[in-house]
Amino acid sequence: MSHRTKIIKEWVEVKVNAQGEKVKESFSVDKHAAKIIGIAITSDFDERLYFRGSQKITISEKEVYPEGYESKMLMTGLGVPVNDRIITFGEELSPGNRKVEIEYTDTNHASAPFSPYRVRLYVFSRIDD
Amino acid sequence: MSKPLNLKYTVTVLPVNRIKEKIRFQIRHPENVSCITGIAVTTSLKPWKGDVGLLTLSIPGKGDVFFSQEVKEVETNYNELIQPGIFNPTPKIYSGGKRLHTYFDTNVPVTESLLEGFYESFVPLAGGMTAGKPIEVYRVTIYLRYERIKKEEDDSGICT
Repeated sequence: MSHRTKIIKEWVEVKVNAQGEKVKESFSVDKHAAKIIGIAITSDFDERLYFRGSQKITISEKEVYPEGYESKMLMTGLGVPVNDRIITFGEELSPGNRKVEIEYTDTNHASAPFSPYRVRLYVFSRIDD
Repeated sequence: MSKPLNLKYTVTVLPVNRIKEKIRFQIRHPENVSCITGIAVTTSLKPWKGDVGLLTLSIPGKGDVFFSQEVKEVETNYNELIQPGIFNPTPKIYSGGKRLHTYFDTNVPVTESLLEGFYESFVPLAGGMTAGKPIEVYRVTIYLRYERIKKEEDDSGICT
């Protein structure tokens, strides 16, 4: 937890072990988080995430991105400045029950043959004084 | 009841099964939204040179086309320095590249329950048939970003 910047960065990981798999994971945001300000999504194999991935993301039981929302819409590459890589929601979200959930779906694509990979969802939160 | 998010996203997938197919479709707006604030389009086509297709969106019954755009796909194989950034002939780390798949910002009031769309594919590829069903050549995914209807005590927002 970073007290100096007052931004908390946490993540949850899903592992995709089979082609066409749908995987769900969740975690609870830190109790000190006052507002959730954005997300980021990465993978150990970005090409698979880009061509094959889609996900539904809910925060405190509220749907932020619906099922079928392609991962490519949320990805940022090395050419994007670090501080621009957070995807914001148009508003800062109250943590509510603090539960963040990702339902990730792998879909076949000719440009990215399947082998197991992992997807990480980062959640950025702000601590109020 | 907790306040819903101000923004609502919808995802509409159009399967393209035939050479240069033309597709008419409708998208039903979610409830309690005031306007469309963003439009984005992607395809599942592998790297492709030239236009993939043409997408238009209009308000039914009025024929008002509020969005019309050629749909393109990246021309190169995946490269994390370039995509999802934008192509830079001399790529540098942290060069200020932008995200590839961003929304076209707009402000279209939602007055009907549906919108109409038309997609024309320019791709000269055939999917064929299997077990009596067409094989998909590629998919077009249309993203719409909406702003929810504000309550009377909150008059912030971009929709007028």
